[in-house]
Amino acid sequence: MTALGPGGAFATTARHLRDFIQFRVYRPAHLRIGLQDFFDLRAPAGAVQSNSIHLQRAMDWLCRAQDATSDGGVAARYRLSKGWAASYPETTGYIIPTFFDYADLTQDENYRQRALRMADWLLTVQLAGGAFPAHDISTPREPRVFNTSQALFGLLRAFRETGNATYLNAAGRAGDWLVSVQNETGTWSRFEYYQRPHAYHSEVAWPLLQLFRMTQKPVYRDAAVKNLDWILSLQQPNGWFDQCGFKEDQAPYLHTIAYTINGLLESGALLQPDQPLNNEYVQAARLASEALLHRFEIRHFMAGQFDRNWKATVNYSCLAGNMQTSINWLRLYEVTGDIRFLNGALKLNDFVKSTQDLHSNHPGIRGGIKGSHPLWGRYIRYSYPNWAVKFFVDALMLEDKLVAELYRQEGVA
Amino acid sequence: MNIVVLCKSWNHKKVLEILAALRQQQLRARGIVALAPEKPAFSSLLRKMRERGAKKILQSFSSNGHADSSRLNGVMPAGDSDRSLPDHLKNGYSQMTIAEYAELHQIEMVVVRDLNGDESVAALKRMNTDILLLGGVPIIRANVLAVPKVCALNVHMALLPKFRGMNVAEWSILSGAAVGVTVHQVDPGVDTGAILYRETIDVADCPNLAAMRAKVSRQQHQVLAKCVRWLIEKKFAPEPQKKEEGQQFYLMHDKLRKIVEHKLSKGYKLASPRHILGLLSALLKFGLEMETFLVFV
Repeated sequence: MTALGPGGAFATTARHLRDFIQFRVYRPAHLRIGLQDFFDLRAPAGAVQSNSIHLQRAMDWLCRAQDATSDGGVAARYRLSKGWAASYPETTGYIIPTFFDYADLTQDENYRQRALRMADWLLTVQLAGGAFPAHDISTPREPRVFNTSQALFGLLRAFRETGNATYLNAAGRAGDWLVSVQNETGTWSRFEYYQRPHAYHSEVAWPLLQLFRMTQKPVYRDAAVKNLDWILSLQQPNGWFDQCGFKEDQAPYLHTIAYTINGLLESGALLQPDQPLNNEYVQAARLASEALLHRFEIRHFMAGQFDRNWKATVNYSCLAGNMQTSINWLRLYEVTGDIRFLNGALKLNDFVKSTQDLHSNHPGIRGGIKGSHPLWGRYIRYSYPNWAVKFFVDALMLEDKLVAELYRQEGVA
Repeated sequence: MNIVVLCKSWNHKKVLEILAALRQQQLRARGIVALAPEKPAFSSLLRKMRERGAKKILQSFSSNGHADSSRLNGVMPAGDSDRSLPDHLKNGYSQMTIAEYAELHQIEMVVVRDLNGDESVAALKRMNTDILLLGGVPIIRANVLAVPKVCALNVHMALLPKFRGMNVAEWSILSGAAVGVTVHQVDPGVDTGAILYRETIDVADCPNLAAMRAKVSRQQHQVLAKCVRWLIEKKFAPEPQKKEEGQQFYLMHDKLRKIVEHKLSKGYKLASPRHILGLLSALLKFGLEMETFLVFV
């Protein structure tokens, strides 16, 4: 490698300079974040605020992301280069339950109303065949399997909260479309990223199982189980899942690894609620989670991408993936009672809390969670994706609930 | 038998406690192989500032001039820790460094840059090491573990095989298990080597974590030295561990530590099998007495 080669000092400097201009890092609010990340000046471990403060700031950010669009959906992300993006059906779908949960927690009706506005917007973007479109709505509307499944979370929750059959009917049409485009083998490859099946489609199976519970139509359960069984066949003895990334030739992001684990875990818990520990999907999720926990605890850092030996391939952290992993560990603690998972989740939450800017004057930055830490990591670079904030809120709410329960059991004030 | 201690050069308290405990068993260390203090690299300083806050780092600089050598952290607290030392060493001993102790007692000390490196292996070979004692060191690789002719020993702050890894005394209490120490042979795994000896420690009199750790720490070195003596006298056979019998634990988060502190403040007492047996026998006795009484009536 030479200084002038592709990975040389000249090319690196040129890339940073290009990023500096393209992502408008020279703006004061952006520059502040850039410098903080360059020197890794996060809040000291013992100086992160209480969860309620971080939660409130994150929810404020999500409200601003919703208000940034005029349609009721939630802006996909705040980009340092171009500002707020358009509404994103996939993530608006799974942000809806977060708003209902936060409304329950705070007894603030405003969050419930916002969730319903999101659900109503989802109804307007559903495609004729029942699918939901890929990407944010500023792009041509192509049906996409994964995105459709995530919209199900919002529609089903809106139905549960309101009893309005419109939401359930829309969910049913989405579910029917998912079943109709499934391959004989139980995989989904049409209408998917790179036209290939992914292990993280366990996250498609989970909402299908929820739909089965609501409608009692076995076709949804059968489709889900067929896919989950295929995913189990991809697991290696060390817990790794083959095909758990977007692309074959790229080390998977923690984001999609965590989706894979989460889908298996929640599906197993839904299928065998009385004895989740005996469920093979839960066991598969646990095996992979233990491998991640070990890596994180040994390194005191969660990398953003891993290879099939669970070796970190990068030095940045994928913050959305961190929070998804935290949720998985918290749920595993709930299901298995293994307190090491709770311990790991507490540390992971602290890390992401330390990256959240609580004081910026900038509405796109204050309370948001970056795609990567540092900002220029490969995952959603120089942006604040709404799903990172959503998973952050879910993780902190679950942490508070579980820690409060544990303290009550142990008689700690 | 040549006994050598492998340690960090700034971990004065632990190493001096081990050496003192050996002396109580009429044993003498042949040598000490110690890791040189790491240089305070910029990135490492930033990390520490983030973890502990800039104020504490600055304080450590002003007190000893080196962020990591932290001699202050290694100094034995006056009082309790001194009680475990031989009388002739008590006065002023708590202010001693490993190097000063080694010089005073003519123990060879070698400072190396990497405990797993060639320098370390060469020093251990030159000292003709029979028994290697680990005094609070990072993971030691197979090349070093292969040097001692008898074995490498470590004392672990919990009862193996259940609690492996870090903060294990805390994890024992959090899990409601007995607190204790285990002396085990060291293999390339994390606390997975064959067990030589286990001892339960009553921590009911420890009102907080610091007191509990101090008590366990004090006793663990006595137990280690006792085991070295027994090993030399061939008084026991190591008992291999099964991997699936235990779990690896990691650094405990403060929110869980709070529960441990709470349990200790209430007087942590375990319902040990002995207590349960005692309770059962009392119940049985009461039942028999009642029966006798009823027959009599």
